[in-house]
Amino acid sequence: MKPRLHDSRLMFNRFFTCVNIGTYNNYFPMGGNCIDDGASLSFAPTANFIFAGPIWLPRDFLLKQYGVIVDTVGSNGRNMAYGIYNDSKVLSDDVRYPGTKIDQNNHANITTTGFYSKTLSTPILLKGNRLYWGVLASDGTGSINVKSSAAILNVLGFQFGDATFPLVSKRGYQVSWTYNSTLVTPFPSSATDQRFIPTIYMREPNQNGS
Amino acid sequence: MRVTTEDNVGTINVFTHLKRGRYFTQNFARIGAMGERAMTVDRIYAMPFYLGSRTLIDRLAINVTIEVEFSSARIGIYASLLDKTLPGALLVDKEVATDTPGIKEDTTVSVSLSGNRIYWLAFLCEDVITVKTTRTPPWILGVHLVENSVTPEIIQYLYATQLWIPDEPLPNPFPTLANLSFGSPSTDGDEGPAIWFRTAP
Repeated sequence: MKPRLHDSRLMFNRFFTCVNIGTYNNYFPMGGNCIDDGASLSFAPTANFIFAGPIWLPRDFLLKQYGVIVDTVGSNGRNMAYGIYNDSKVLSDDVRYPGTKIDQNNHANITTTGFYSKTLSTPILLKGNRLYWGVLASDGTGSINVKSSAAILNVLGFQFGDATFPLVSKRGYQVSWTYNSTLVTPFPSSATDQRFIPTIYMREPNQNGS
Repeated sequence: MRVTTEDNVGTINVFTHLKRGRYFTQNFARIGAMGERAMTVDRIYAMPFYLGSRTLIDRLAINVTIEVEFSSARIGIYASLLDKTLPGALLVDKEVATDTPGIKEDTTVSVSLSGNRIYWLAFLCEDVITVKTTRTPPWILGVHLVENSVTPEIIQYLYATQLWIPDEPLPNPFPTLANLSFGSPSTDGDEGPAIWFRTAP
């Protein structure tokens, strides 16, 4: 089916209605799943771990650009890779877990803060009413903090924690993985729950195609 | 199963059921204290909101905290354009006096809005009055990012230059895209004017 990206009257049949407008770059944190701007927390990703957070898309989304915000850096320059993954529902319809990689990007020797992103020359059509995953990994060189949200769509639910946080919202997954600029696919098994995950900002093409 | 725009069966609309006879603003999530700030004269503001099901609206209101003698404001509702998330045709236009502080309400509204749509609350004032403000959720207009910036800004509203002319209604249709700007915290303040609409009892 031809995507009707700007036929918003027909398309916004769900809660999140992200549609880009005009010649501006409107980004949607975690695809619009963030209740805030996606940047309310500064999160230090553990070296040689790979993180994944769920992104539910209410409608077809033509992915033109995606990225993360690095808001703190160390002096030695960390290497970082991030990407978009399918859900693994092809394996089981009732297990929400990241699956195969759709696209990725990497940056070496990060020593400055800012928005790190990839612009796709050929946009990728992500289907609506499906779950996708934003993934990030980094190595042990230097240090970085990336923006994270305090409130995203609670796909993974709450789980009993400890006395301090008896019911903890589970926002994503993490698992040990020796860093490589090419992200692993499919996502490694046996990941554990993670309270905070990097925010992936996504946008569609502008009306002029940029 | 095919989901039609008028049939909520099969959809997952959080905002499908708004209680009748209650007031809502463009921010359904916020129930605590609201902000306030002075509004810019000769500027029409448009704040998007989402309706999950067909809803009859019978009142519109703003909350004036600092008034201006002999002043008025116009408040209204716009439909979205068919093919864009932009305000289009004017559906409701009302004038309220803003010469005293407090809730300024028009009780003569009668408009039935379809479900599964985005609509826009609009505001235009004659003088620099201060009103209660609220935030637009980020899932409709998104956030604005610039290269090398670490501060994304939720886009709060759209606005356009629109001269106040006594007794003139809000423009119909809304100014076109070429004349629109985004309202974001760094340049235009943190929030748009809060406009309350009441679901008919």
